[in-house]
Amino acid sequence: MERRKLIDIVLVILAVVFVSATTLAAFYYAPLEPVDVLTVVEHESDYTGDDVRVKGVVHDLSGQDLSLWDISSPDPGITINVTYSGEGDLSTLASDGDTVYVVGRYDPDDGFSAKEVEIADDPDEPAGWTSPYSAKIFYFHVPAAWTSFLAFGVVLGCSIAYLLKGGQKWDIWALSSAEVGLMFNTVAVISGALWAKAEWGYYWDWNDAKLFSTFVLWLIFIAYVAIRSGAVRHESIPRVAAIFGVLGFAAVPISFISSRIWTSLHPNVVASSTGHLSSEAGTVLMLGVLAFTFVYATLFSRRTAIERSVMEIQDLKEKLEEEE
Amino acid sequence: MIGVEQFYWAYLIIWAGIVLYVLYLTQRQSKITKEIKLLKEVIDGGRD
Repeated sequence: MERRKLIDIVLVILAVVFVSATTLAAFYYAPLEPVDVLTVVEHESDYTGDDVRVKGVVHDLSGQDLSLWDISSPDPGITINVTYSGEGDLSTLASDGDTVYVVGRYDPDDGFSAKEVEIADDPDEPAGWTSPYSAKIFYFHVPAAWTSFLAFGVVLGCSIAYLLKGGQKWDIWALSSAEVGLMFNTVAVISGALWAKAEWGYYWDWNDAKLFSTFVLWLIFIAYVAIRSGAVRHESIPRVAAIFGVLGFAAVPISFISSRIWTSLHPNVVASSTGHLSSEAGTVLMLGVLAFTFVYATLFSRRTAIERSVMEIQDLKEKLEEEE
Repeated sequence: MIGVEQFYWAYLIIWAGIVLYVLYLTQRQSKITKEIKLLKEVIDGGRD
């Protein structure tokens, strides 16, 4: 069997196996809430150590204790008991049904010990991860985004190689990777918007640095693919596209770090000191990343095969013209 | 449970997007293969 066909078959098998495993794990194994949200919503701290601030709705207030439900942490949608040890009478600080912030320490065994209780200025302001089931989108959204970054990284590498060494192979690889990467980026943007609707109450916010920078990245690679679509035919197109691919890649690190340095509700749970994944969530995420990487490799291989066939057509046409 | 609907929609859209892209690639490959076959026939026919 031809080596290339064998690689294609292996890639398809790996993609199908890992996609199935990710689906089963995301549906039946992954925890509803993959992130330790206290560290996402609040300052950088371990929630069992330093003081943290938790948003919740007062469910039951009696004496100096209260119960919060629909809290932002540690498990949204559940109720936790809070022991208040701060100054003043708790009944003058909060009432049943109030949306409040409590500041204190959380211990998985002893519960939450609050030193401060304050009424939230804006009860509708998103508290963080409030939609536990939708958080499962995480296991597909993050791998899709990462795969698009990988694909655009391949565009960068191949574009540099093309500019330095020339050669049709690098151009074909860059073009194929850009198209497949754009598809994954589109999937990440749409799934992210659906998740945003569940968590934040809206699909999109143009003032959010992460969302805006990702949109710019998406536009850049739409432009790249449009340049290569064949609408404009000129021998300098591969070179122009290679320069565009190198410059366009700059949007990838900007998109990645945007939520870390500018205003964004988008959480930083991967490669971040403020987000912690449970081991179950981490396992499912890794499965998802592998699954999407194999899907990417499969599609990349198919896409390059098409481009090779296009080259073959051009060669045949030239041959035909020569013979005529 | 909050967010169930969004999860199913996102899951469906993600895989629908990938499947549509695979179908697009397949259709494109098939069209190109036909064109190559035709060109080869024309070239071979010319030689005969």
